[in-house]
Amino acid sequence: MSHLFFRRIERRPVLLSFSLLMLISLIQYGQSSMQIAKRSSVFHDSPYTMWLSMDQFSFIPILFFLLVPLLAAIPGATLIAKDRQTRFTQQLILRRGGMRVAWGYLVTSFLLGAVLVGGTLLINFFGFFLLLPNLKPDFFLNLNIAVMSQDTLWVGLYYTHPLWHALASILLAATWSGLFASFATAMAWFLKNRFLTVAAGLLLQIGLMAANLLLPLPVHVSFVPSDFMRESAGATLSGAVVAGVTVIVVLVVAGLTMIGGRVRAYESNR
Amino acid sequence: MLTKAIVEQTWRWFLWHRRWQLWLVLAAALSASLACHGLHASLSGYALQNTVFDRFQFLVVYFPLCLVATLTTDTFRGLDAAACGTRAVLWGQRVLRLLVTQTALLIWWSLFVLGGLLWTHSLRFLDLGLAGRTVLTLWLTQLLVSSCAELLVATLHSRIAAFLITWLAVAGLFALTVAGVPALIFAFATVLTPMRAAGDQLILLGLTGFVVTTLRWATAREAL
Repeated sequence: MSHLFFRRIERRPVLLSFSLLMLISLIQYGQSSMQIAKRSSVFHDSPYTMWLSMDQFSFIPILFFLLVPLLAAIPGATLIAKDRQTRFTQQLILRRGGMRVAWGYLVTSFLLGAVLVGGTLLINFFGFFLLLPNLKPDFFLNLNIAVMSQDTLWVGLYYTHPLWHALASILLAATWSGLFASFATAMAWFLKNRFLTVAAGLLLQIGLMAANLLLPLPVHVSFVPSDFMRESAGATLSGAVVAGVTVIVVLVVAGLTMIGGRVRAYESNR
Repeated sequence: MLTKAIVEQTWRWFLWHRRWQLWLVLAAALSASLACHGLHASLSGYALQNTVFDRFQFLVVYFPLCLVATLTTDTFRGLDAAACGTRAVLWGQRVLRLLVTQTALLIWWSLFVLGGLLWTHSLRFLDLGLAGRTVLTLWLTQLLVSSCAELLVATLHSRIAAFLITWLAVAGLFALTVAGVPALIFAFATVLTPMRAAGDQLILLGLTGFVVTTLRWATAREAL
């Protein structure tokens, strides 16, 4: 069943998303390379302190993580929105059943979003090994990047095994990109407007940003994905809050998919 | 005659689609609540102006919502062009719809912000003349950004690409502003810059006029 959806992935939206993600990532890479070239000593810097998710001195990472919900959702959400418009989903539902079709689209969309963003972050991260020596970050020498328990998850791991920490951060970012893509796909069952479907993840992020400001948690712990998707954020983070928000969004996406799949299946069989 | 018909049709469209109005009110309320966040009566007039017209809030929330509102309402019927015998009707519908949507969004936003200022007892510290001129600049900026997005839709036939390109351009200008280069799009966010002194509203009006004229050309060549 999943082969059917993977075969139907369109190359153009995937390329558009990947190109834009890579473009933003390359701009940050270029900016950092110029900074490194200007410095007399590079030995305090390492890929772990300079890559996209750790760069605290540039506007580009903020832009990247703000745009992730939209760019990750483009391939999957476009696919389902187009299929709904051409009524191809109805044909699929009649042959395979509403729930199987809904989960098929959801899994495809999740994987596409996760691979696109995760891939871009991996390329950026490993690209910095071409510029800088593989040195472990030091708490005192790299004090300027201010990686501490308030703004970074698993900060002990960062100083002991920075590679694993970076990979874990990429995994979290990829998971959330997949979740944004899945949310847009789940919303596609209810929205007719294709543009609004693709922008659903972005609107969710904007809504969470507003909620974070207007209804702050104790100690102002951020529950905005663009904050905790970064390896080190400019906001207070907590593992429990990240896990809680993730579980809530997973449940919402699953709920929307189940309701959407059933409603469309009922409509198709009527 | 055609212009009158377009105006009437657009107005009826706006009144009929209650869902769009609700969406605009929600978007305006969301953005205004963020603009009013952190307002208190002890702020000076300058700080108050900077808090309400915070450029980062506009980049991240207000402009995306403006673009989403413009692009989701960008629908037209080829039948209208066939009935009138000219595509000018489609261009007129686009421009008027954009004008109505953006103006409604700004009015709702201003009302919510005004409510926030009254609620926090900080209205008396605000220079109303300056704030009024800033809102006018903001309206013209919105029109320019939205008409650029419409022009891209007519050229690229993709609303997603139009949204991304326009927002990335605005973000690039934001980065320039942060670096100290005055950018026209964020002229409203600063109380006085060389750009504002040079008559930013006139420049914005001229640029919007140019984009709208180009939109007419693009609509005439657009494959329906």
